[in-house]
Amino acid sequence: MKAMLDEILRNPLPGWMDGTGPESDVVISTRLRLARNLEGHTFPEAAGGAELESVRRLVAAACTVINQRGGWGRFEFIELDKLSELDRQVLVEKHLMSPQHAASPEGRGLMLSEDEVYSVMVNEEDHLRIQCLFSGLELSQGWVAATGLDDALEARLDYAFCPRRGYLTACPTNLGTGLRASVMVHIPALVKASLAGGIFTAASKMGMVVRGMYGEGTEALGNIFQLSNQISLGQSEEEIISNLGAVARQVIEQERRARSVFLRDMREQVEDSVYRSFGILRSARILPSDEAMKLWSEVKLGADLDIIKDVKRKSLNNLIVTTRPGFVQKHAGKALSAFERDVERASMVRGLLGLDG
Amino acid sequence: MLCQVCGKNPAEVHVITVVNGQKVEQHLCSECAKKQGGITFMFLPHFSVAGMLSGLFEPVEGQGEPDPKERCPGCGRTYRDFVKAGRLGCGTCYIQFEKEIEPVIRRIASNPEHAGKVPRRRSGPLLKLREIDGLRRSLDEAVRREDYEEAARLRDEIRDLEKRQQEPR
Repeated sequence: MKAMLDEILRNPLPGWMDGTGPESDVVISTRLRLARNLEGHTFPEAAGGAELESVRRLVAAACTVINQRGGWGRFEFIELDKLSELDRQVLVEKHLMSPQHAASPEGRGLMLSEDEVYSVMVNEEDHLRIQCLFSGLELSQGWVAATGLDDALEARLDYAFCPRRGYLTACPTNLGTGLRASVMVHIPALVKASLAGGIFTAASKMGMVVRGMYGEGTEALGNIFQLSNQISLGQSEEEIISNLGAVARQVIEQERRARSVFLRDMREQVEDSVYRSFGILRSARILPSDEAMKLWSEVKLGADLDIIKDVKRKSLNNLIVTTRPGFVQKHAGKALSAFERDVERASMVRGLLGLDG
Repeated sequence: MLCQVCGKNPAEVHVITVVNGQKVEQHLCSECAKKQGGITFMFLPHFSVAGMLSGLFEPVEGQGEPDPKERCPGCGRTYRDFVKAGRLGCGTCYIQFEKEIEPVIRRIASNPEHAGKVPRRRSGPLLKLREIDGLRRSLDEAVRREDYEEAARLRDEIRDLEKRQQEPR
């Protein structure tokens, strides 16, 4: 049991980040999450310690049964208060749970699949936040996966549900389907052309929200943004997914168009910026994480435009997680000061890009 | 932190502009942010959905304040508690404070009726409820047409379904 979690904490590159999948020149990953609560239990924010504990125990028992029945790979059930702060940070950096969940571990749990595709936050804002992650634009496949795990859990747990309002959630914005589908996009050309703002305004008119990479209240690191549906009530899951897919495809199309315009009209400038960034990224000895993400964005663009040919997409996506402060410390095996982290990060990045020494 | 333009009001908006590929970050008050054109992104650094939602929970004008002493039997919270927290306490709150929550839900979703998945365990009885609703509409229609034979048949069918509905599962 310990071994599986250790493996997950050390492995920078889960399958959902391997850089494959549809539209992976722009779309990094697709995430679906379902909010669910248990009938007859107070929602986590209003619940006391005993109540949180009893919900956690119920979900842990359901997890055991799912493991026994098989068909899902193996799930690990983690009690968050037994993890170190650093390990929790790494799980956040890997998008397996939210920063809010990591911040208050008492009575909180995380059910995690071995391949890191599925994770279930227990006692976050709702009793259950079922999540699945895929590489590239995979909304339909994602929905099949999420609803499948939802069914498996529902077979053991009694959900709070009302025919009129759907799945009952702590926040009314998640009522109905409880579904939040997100697509993580890398759109450096739109940002450079100052077109991203207009596109996001258009997206919001179509009922979509745009946020930074780590969700609510976070900034857009490395020109990575999350597009997700705003409303979960009054539409079916299929409608929600198809609307988000349509908006995402628009963004992809616009980004590709902007890239080709840059390449046509400013080839030297684009190449210069890509190669300079690549040079710094693989030679730097001190590398702060924000700078690493900025450089990453340029190099990723270079790889997607075939300017840089000798770097694998996989290694590049690897950097998104590898350069995060928690992961750097996990890799070093100890807590590091900010300066030590920047040194360690530079060395890890050189290793990944194959130019150590 | 004060606004970097006027230096008077507190900075509430984090503005990132990209000019000729150069990113410029500024912390502005909302007044100055409005005046500045060409904003590419706006992030409110301490913006929280919960904060915005507690505004959403405010009672609709003209509807009057809900009874401050009324508590949800499920979790013991009052409506004021939700306005403060931006979150409900339990599933029962949705029933206890239905009158107050209804307009909130209407602000969020244009169609306030669930149209998606139904838990498998509930799908049997629920689908039956949807069926009964449909039969009731047909019954009204039959009465309007003065087709009493059909109406009697539908009435029996509805009774039958309702009876089965009440039997323990």
